Amino acid sequence: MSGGAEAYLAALALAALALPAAGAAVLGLWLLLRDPPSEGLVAGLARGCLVGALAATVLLAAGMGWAGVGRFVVDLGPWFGAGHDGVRLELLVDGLTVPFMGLATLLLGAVGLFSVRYLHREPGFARFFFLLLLFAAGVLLLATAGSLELLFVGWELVGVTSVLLIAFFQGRPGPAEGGLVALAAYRTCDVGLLLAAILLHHGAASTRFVDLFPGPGWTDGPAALGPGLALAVGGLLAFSAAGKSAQVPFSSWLPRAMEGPTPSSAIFYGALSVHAGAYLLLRCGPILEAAPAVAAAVVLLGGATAAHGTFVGRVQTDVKSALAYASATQVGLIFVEIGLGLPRLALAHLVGHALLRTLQLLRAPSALREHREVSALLGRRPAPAPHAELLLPPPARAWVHRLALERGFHDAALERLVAPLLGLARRLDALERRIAPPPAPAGASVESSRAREEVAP
Amino acid sequence: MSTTLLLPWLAALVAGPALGATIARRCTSGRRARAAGLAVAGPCLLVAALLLAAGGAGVVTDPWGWPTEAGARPLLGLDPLGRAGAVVVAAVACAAVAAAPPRAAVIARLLWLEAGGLLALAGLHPTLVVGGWALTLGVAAREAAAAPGGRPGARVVLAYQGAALAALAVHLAAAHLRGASGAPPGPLELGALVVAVAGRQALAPLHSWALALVEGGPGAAATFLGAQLGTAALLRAIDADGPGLAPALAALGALSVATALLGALLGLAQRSPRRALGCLLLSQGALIPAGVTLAHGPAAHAGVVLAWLGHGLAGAGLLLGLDAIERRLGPLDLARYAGLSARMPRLGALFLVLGLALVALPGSAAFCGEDLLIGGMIEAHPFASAALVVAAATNGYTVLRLALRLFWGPDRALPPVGDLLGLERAALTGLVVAALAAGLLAQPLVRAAGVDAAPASTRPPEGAPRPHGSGP
Repeated sequence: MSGGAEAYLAALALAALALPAAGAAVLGLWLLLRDPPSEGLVAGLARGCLVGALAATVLLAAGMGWAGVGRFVVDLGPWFGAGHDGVRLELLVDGLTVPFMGLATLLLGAVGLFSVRYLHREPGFARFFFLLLLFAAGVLLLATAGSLELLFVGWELVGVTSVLLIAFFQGRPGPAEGGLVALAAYRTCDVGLLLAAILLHHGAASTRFVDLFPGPGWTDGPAALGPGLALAVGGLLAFSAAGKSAQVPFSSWLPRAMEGPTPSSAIFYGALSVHAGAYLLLRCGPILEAAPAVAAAVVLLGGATAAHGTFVGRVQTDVKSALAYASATQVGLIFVEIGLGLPRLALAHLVGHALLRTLQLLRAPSALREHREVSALLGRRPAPAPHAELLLPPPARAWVHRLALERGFHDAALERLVAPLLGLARRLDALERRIAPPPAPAGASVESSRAREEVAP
Repeated sequence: MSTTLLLPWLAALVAGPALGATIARRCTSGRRARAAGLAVAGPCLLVAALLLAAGGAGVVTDPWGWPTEAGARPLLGLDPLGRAGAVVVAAVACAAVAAAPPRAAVIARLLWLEAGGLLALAGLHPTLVVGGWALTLGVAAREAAAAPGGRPGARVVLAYQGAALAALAVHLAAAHLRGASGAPPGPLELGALVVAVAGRQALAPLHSWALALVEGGPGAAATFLGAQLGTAALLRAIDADGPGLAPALAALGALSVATALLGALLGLAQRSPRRALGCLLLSQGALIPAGVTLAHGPAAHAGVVLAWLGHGLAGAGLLLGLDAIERRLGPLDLARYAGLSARMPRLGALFLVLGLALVALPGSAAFCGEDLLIGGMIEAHPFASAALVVAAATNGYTVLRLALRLFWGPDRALPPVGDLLGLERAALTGLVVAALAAGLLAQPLVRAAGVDAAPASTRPPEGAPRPHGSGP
């Protein structure tokens, strides 16, 4: 590749990443320092950044095709560090990155445009678009990261924005509770990703993908790791991917995530956030190739999630929950494909599923009306699809039905798992309070009431 | 910058807040006291930032000193890490003076705390270091006692920090007596160092005073928890007797990791926002001494600077935000959603960002610092690194739970209160911007501070494996 073409492609990749980040920074600073801007201004800014990112991605894909470039690295120098340790701002653009970037920018642009009308006169209009732009920056960084550490930065931004959009409606406790459940799953899986990075530092002396996967293409493996290290790192990556993609046993957060506004549910849990785990496994596919046990575990995990999702989804009474479990089912199948060593099929499945599910979720609020319209056209209610549970032997059906209604008893199992930890925390706190008794409440004091007068409007 | 030119700056940095405190205490009006406090704290922050940015590597000291048998010993000086600490103390003081209720006594206490913290950081003579610790202890105990029902808390603060102060005096005296004989530190000196650092840094089992101090608020003293005076004393000791301190460093490393886990666990069980925040500060703060004692390589020093800045600035901002809420509404209970976002949307946003910056939101100074610290200890202590990762992940949950429970939920029938006032808003916004800017511009900051070279105190011990990194 010539130097000019390389610079051109690097500039396009950077533009796709920087535009939403700059939009989020401008809007975030505005919201911190001043009253929220007008809807027109917010919409214009978001539209400009998201459509600009989409245009840059399209040009990047075209440019790579025209120049015959399959993979290139954009090195922006060190972000922070000293001596041999630190994180470099290094992007990797290859055959996996570009389709995911294209999918992300296309869906973000579409959902951004949809949301301008959908959230018209909503009190948190500007906050929604700030979070959407920050999410866009996070997901594009996740897609283009050149090292596991930089990928973690994007992963965290996606997680934080996910939680804040689930809890978007501040007036009710339900969304906040849903956000906390999702956060608990995210933080648990973050530990896996961080520990994987630590292990790679320890055992491979690098977390850069070009060092770990020296093959010419993104599907060419196996990784340059020993079998023991590949097993440990692969296991941790599979663990973190399972949490992010709502796989068994973490799947109970996904329906709760539907508390957020419909456009964010569509883009996060139908399209991009829920596929972040699958993307991580695709990016680190050569590690799975070097660790067949982990690949087998991913197949089992995906299969179990697909079965769980399809049964539980059938007994849901609201459209968004049913779609959430349908998403989990399809992502489970994508996991199976990844585990079986079919990365190109998994990528195609991921793109197709994200597009379809986004459409379904965006149409979910009008599902009842559409159902009535279809019934009116047909002159009868549409016949339900044949039920998979009819394939089960009759004695098992009641048991499976109960299992589906209870969502696989995941919540109960997790509560049992967490209860001893919380019990220990409470016992330690009681001991702590005995050693150092807390002071009496400050609210009744003269000093406090005087101070309260000083700040009353 | 020559040492002769630095003397007035260092002297002003230490003496300025003390003078300001005296003036503020004599002011008849609270607003005048605050103006006087800001007139002192603002320039102090500027001087500390200039020293950090322009100091480069090495220690800046005054040219004159305390006469000893071995010649003149410098009185004041700041190494690169001390300069980072000075910035934290000065920034916290400036923000706290701006956001605190305008009362002369409160402003004066804040400035005394700043003076004590800066004296302990910049003092090179043992008497000055002990004096700085004693000053901060006295003000913190006074602060705790002033809180309603705070006498038991004040007793806890006095007992724990008093023990730490006594242990520091013993350690410094033992080191002075040992002098330049070249003998390794004895068990008494090592034990005293462990007690001093653990007591001052609120490391388990000497951590209860920090929870008492935070819970006793609204107050000024708790905002200075991020000053990390114990870590500063430890770094001084490492520079003097690096290899001889191995047993003490191992003990402090273990205590730091235990504190990080304990704080994270305790945070999950809290119903009081102040106590939950205290647990968070305890747990996140323990990462810094853990890095100092367990991490090796140049990354460790850079990590300490960044983590110190991140923890100090974000932690102080959270405490000031919580103070602002409690001054308006009294204590709240995390068992219920308080629904404050309707009344205080700007405070809600700032509180959330500060909370995420405390628990290492990517892009914040704490993120860069923790990454470097954990990266520096992976080789020698993989299990400790893993434990710290678990603690940090748990703290992330606690901080978001705290923010959501305070600001989300239905708008309850609370007294009519407004959002942040002008100076409160400026103080918290300044802390947010500083915590994020220090992370986004981490590399220039580390280079300017002169901590990207490997100092003796962070070199790996003989036979230890060379640290690896992701960078080339």
